[in-house]
This record gives sequence, C-alpha cells and structure tokens, in this order.
Amino acid sequence: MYEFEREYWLEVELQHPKGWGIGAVGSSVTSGFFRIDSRNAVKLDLKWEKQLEEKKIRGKVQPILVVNNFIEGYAKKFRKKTKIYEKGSVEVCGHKAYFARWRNDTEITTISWICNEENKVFLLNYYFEPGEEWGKVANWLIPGITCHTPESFWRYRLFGVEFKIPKDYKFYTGKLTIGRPVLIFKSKEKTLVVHWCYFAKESLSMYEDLFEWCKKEIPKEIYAAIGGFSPHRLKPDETGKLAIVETERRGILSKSVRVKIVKIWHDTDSNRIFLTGYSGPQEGIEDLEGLEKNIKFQLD
Amino acid sequence: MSFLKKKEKPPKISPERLYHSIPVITPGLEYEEDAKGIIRILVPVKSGTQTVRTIKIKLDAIGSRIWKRIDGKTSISEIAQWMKNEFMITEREAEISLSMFIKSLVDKKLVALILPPPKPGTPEVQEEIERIRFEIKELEKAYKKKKVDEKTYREIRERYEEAIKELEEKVKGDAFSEKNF
Repeated sequence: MYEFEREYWLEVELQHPKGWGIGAVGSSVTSGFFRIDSRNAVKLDLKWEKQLEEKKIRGKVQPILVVNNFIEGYAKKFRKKTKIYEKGSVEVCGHKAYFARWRNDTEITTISWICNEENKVFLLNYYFEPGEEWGKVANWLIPGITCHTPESFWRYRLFGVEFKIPKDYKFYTGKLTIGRPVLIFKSKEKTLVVHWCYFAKESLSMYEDLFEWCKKEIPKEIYAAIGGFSPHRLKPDETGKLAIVETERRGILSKSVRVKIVKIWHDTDSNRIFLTGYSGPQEGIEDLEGLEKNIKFQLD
Repeated sequence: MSFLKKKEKPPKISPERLYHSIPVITPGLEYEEDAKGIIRILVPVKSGTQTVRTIKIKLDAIGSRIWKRIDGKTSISEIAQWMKNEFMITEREAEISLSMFIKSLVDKKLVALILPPPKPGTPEVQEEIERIRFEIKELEKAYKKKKVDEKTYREIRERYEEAIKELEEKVKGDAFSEKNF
C-alpha cells in the first residue's frame, strides 16, 4: 500500500505516492508544465495552457481532441506506433475529463479537461510501470487533483517547504537545485522571490554569522530578480531578520515609489536559512508580508 | 570530429540498487580528523608501487560527518535516513544529495560500493553484466600499466567471468520461463 503526499506546484494540487517528487518544470505567463518522477522512472507530467480570448471565440477546445492530438503528435515525434485500447471519461475537480489508455514502449494514460474557473486546458500523462493497474492509480490520482480554488493564492510545496503566492503572480523562473532552490514570481511590475538553504547550522558554522554568510552565499539569480542590492547594507529588523529596504521615486514628477525589500533569517526549527524578496510598487509590499508569514516546513 | 578518445563512462546503476548499496572506504586509504571533526583524506600518489607523495582532500562539515558513517556495513539508504533526522532534510533531499556525494567519492576511487544482487527478471541483471564487463576492461588497463600483477589479474578476471556466466544463465532462464508461462 502506498502512502501519499500532496504536491502543490504551478497552480495545481495533486497527490502521489510518498518519495516521488518534481523532476522538471517549465512555464510561461499562459502555460505551465511539471513532471513528477519516482526514484526510478518518470511517473506523470501535467501541462496546462490558458485559453486565449480569440480561441474561445473561434470555438471551444475539446478535451477529446486534445488527447487524440497529443497521442498522434507523440507517434509522429518519436516515430513509434501507438495503440489506443480504451477511451472514456472521468470527473476531475468537478470537470468532465476525457482519457485514453494507450501504449507504445510503455503504457500511458492521457487525460484532458477544461477548467472554466481558471480558463485553462489541462493535459496529464501517467506512465505505468509493470504491475501497476489503471483502476488503482485512478483511485488516488483523479480525486487528488485540484485545478481551481476559491482562495486568493496558490500554494507551492517543494522539498518540505510550503508557501503561498497571490494568484496574480506567475511562476517566472527558478532553479530547483536540491536544498537550495530559487523561485521567482512576477505580476506585471511586481516580483516576489523565495529562496532557502538546507544544512543551515552546518553552513553557518563556516561563517562568523548570518551577515557574513549572506555576503557569499546569496545566489546571483536573486540579485538579478530584485534589481541589484548590496548585502553589506543588510541590517537586523525589529523581528531579528536581516533586511534591506530601499525605495526610489520614478522620475521627478511621478508619485509612484518603487521598493526593494530583501529579508533573510535562520529558522532553527527547520535548520534552514530563508530569503524572501520583493521589488515593485510600494502598494505590493503586503504580498511579501503574506509570503513571509505563510512559509512552513514539514519533514516527511 | 574529435581525435581525442573520450573516456568511457561506467554503465549506470539503477537508483534503487544504488540506494541499497553499501559504501566502503577504499582499503589502505588513510584519513585524519581535526578537533572540529573535519576529515582530510590522504590519497597516495604512486609511481609503480612506490608512493611519491600524498594529496590531502578536505571534506566540509557535512561531508566529514557522512564519511564517519561509511563503515562497510551501513547502506546508503540507512545513511540517508540518519541524514534526514540529523539535518532536518526531506527523504528526497537526503537521497539525492547523499547519492551525489557518494558518487563523487566513487569517481575519485576513495570509496567503493557493495551492490546488492540484481533482482532476477529485471533490467538490473543486464545492467550488472555490463558493469562487470566494464570492470574487466578497467582491470586489463591496470594490468597493462603494471599496476596489478599477473596472478591477481588472472584471479580477478576469472571471478568476473564466472559472475557474467552465472548472470547470463539467469537471463536465459528468465526468457525460458516467460516463453513457457
């Protein structure tokens, strides 16, 4: 019997057997992709695309065609014969979804559905290993998928760290380095950054203190995302975190104020050093506060 | 086109098998530990059979603590479990970071791995055959460079070939049983 864990990633929630994890990601403003791997193999991938307004006018995308096109495209791309041996429908997060079970070298189930709440088309592939049965997999996979929520944020979870990102932000770019990921989210002029570092106690033992650690260990992607800052200017704030708050007025006549904020702290409970950052109009500061407040760590 | 011959890479070992393998410090290798618990591995540089100098490889704080767990009895999965609790990291973080660390030690020949026997009827058997063939090639190279004497070379080679024979019979047996049932 499997034990399951929940994955929150790129505006989707799903569950999978414990020990599996994100193997690849990709995204743009209008699309998202991620792959989940077990220790030995690729297990599933999920792709979504925002439906463009013009496409909606031209005609609704049909999940059954999305599935067929994917399988045909796969056969062409890899020059392999594919055989569909079952087609049917299931309900995913309240939406009617179509699926096809097919095989080439391996057995695959492809599912597609449209989420009207989020205006997205989804495509999910599940890759079977010998001994796995679709009936059993469907029992835990399908009910575990959430493609829309009434909340104002999306949950993200990576290597035991969970946090919330306001829904107007999109995952822009990131580095999923084990133990030291960098995740950058953007919403128009606003940028949010999350980074953490495991083995905090051990890593800090090589430096005099957290301040010295910051001078050497902050990944370069964070400087680029925030728009440049000097770690030498980090100072402890009222909560004990190291922080930089810089403001600048855009133009002489403009009233808009842009801020750059970086906060760094050592969380002894999770043995991690966390860094959060924000760059953008002053009105968006609360996005950073919300992010900071909601970072949680849970050991599996 | 490159005229340089690329160094042949050893065949891959399945992550599952690697996870259950037991790392062993290369026999004869010495190391020292300072007051802070930092390990320095003393790697002899040889010319023929003579040690000409020693290179010191310094591990960091985490690497040093893992090194001390390598006792020839504890498997990678057991070390990963210890890491998980000791450093507050997830199982996946422990598995991946430990595998990378052990792999770097194996590549530098500081550590060897005792692999569990391949699971019958799985691609692990073929993987093991390929791995032993690679080891034979490496042994031949060492013999040609006079790093191994003839007696040792013949003994080890014979053992390797016997192991391949046994595994190939297993593969044939699996194919036979698949045909019949």
